[in-house]
Amino acid sequence: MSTLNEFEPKRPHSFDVSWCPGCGNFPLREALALAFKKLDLKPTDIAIVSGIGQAAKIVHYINTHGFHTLHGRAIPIATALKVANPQLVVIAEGGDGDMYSEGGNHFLHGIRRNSDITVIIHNNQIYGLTKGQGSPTTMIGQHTTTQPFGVFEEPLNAIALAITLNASFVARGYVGNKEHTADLIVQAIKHKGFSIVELFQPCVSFNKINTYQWYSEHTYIMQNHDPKDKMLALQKSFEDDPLPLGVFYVNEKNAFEENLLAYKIDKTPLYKRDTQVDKIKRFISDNF
Amino acid sequence: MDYTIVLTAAAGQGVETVETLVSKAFKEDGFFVFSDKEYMSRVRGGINSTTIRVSSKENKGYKQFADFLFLFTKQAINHSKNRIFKNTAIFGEEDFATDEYKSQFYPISFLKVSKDLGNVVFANTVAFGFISAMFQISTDIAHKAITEHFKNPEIAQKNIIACNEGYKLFKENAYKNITLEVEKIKKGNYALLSGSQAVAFGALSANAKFLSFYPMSPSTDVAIFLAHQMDKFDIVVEQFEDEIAAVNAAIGAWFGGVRSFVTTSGGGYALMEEGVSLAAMSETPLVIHLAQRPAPATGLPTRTSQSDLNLVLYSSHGDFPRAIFSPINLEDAFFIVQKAFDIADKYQCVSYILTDQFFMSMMYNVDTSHLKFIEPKSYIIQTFNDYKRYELTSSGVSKRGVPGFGDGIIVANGNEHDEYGDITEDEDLTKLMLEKRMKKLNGIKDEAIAPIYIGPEKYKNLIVCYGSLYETTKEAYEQIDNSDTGLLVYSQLYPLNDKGFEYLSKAQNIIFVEQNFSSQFAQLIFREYGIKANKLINKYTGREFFVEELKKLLQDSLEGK
Repeated sequence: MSTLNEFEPKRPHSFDVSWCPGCGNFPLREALALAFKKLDLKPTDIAIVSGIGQAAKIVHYINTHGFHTLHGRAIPIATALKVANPQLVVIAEGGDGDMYSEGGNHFLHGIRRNSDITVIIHNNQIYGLTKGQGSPTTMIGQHTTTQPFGVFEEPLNAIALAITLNASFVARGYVGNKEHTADLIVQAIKHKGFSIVELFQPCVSFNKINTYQWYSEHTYIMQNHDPKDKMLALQKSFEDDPLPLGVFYVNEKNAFEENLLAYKIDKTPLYKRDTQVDKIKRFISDNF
Repeated sequence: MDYTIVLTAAAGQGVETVETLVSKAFKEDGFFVFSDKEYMSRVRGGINSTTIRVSSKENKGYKQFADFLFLFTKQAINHSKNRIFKNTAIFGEEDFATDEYKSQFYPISFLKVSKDLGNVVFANTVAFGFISAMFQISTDIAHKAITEHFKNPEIAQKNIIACNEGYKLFKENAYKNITLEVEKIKKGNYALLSGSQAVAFGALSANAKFLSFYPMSPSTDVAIFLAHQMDKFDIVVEQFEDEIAAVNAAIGAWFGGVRSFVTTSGGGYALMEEGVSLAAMSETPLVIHLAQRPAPATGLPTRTSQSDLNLVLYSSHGDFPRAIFSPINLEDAFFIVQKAFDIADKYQCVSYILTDQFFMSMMYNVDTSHLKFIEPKSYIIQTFNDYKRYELTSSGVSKRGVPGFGDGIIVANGNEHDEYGDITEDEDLTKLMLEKRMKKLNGIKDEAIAPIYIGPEKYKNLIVCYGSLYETTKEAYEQIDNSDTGLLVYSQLYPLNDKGFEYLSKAQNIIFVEQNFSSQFAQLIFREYGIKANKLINKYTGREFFVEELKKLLQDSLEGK
């Protein structure tokens, strides 16, 4: 039984959910809707920009504005959307392949740019939509359709990577704990800056290793962790069994939009501002 | 009056300072000035040249032969050999002279004088003073150009001294026998602008508020210029991590209701193609400024070309409508860029503005009374409950809402979708949606800009060109026997306004002039109308056609050579 309420979309094709029964995307969506409710947001306040993959289909299954874009490209699109209208809550969403592989460069530079958006990575440690290829976070030794003799590439530690780049907000959760996940999303949205929330979520069809049971047994929620302590955060990010969950690192700094001269004095969203033709004409005749 | 000055120097010698100062002073004193440059892709060394044409009327063609050639390095004379004719007066240090040009060589010690002033870099300003004296420009005007250019008063003062040395050099030596017949242009509302500035101002005038880019010659000047205006105008200029991010950011801004664009060159655009297809499928408007250079791969980064028409015409996967423009001069760029934004916004499609290095570097007095401003229309609606982003309509255009404006929910999608924007694989809907998108091409074509025709009502021969070749081709055309020949100039390359077909079908002998190898526009005309070119004139050396060169080629072509 869904508890999405107002975030349950009512459009003709939005009922036809293509996630497998038991998919980790379901509890993730529940946690997302719960976070929106906790923040007292309306569906029209929020825009989700997603990439490509099973995770990215979320824009069709939740009632907010949505843009289902290209593999890996959600972050630059979300960044510019936030510039166009800083009043929107902007979320970029995608899977581990989407955000860390195809979109890896945008992830790195998104952290540097520090746009006030929330980036949610559905990390199921496998490619789901394309049926079971290894992803940047698949564990060493795991056998997949395209790595039949086992993965040998080092898994990407996005949490550690983000901390070393002085990311503004870095958190990790596990969708099996809905309340905790919703709480992380609430904090991420509230945080001003580029907020990374990596969420472990099982792929029940193509990842037989990282199951609900596996995540329950191999993760724990950090207690009394000080997210302002960068070296401690980094140390925590290197723990791999069990894997820590919670807010690793918070680094308060100016968001991208705050650095823009266009918003220094005038806070009117750019999309509402008119042309400046008269000013242009004057500028040309005075200076050229 | 019509004089051509060529300045040839090594990269890093700062000859662009002379170009800027001379152009400013000429403009200020009431001359018409046109300049352009050719330069190597290196920060130091190599040889570059700048051409400045000073006239008493609006001469915007690119002239080959210099009346005055200034050399700033020994190798310069060899580099600019093709700019010398029998009447060229050549100026340079004594040891720059070669036997071949001895009779027309005037030794002058710009470098020595500047060394005495403490820095060889002053050679540029000494040369500026010399040229100013030659054209009887008052020192007041020359000094004003200097103080406007060098913001630091101390540096400005040193340059004023250098400039005065230049005046002295001219007056105290044999060169003063060179007396020019100086004639000025009628006073007008002239603004000295470059191609990159014209494109940038066109975008600003179109209400562009976001420019995302990754640096790539020769397109970057547009971004540099606009980045410097961020404190004056409502525009965000952001350098992204790569062209892929840049184009997607532009799409994101349009999705949010802000007019935006990218500036790039062929190689950068190649990386943007995926994003272009997203704009097409999601029906998000997009404007791309592409300054062409010779390719493939890195090609010649700082040279000119018209070889990316096929790239933009056929790029990106799938069938979708697009509009391609190529401004013919700076005044036109103002208008064309605004038009490109209007078409992109109105038809929720991709618009291209094709320029090139020659166009970007071009600088001249623009008569501002000829600049056209299109009132930017807002095509965005306030949404309502049950809003359908992709509602099927007879024109193919659905009303575009943006997130946060109205009660509707906006779902945009790069997957095939239903009217609400949700994914579908329904066969009937797939067909309807593709047809809906392609229908927009009819509207875009209905608004296509007609080509300009110059020439007699009845003609046998028709010369065809487009974009930045216009001014040079027009001037060459005016100098040949054109009683039986017309000139057809396109500023919109796709979709074509069929008025052009009428002109093309009347001609018996069609000559295409293009700065590429394979006559890409001639191919497009054949594809669209089945009309075959009779003769092709191409230049693909990375250097722009000169008026004199093109005149000869056109003459030969018309004489059947």
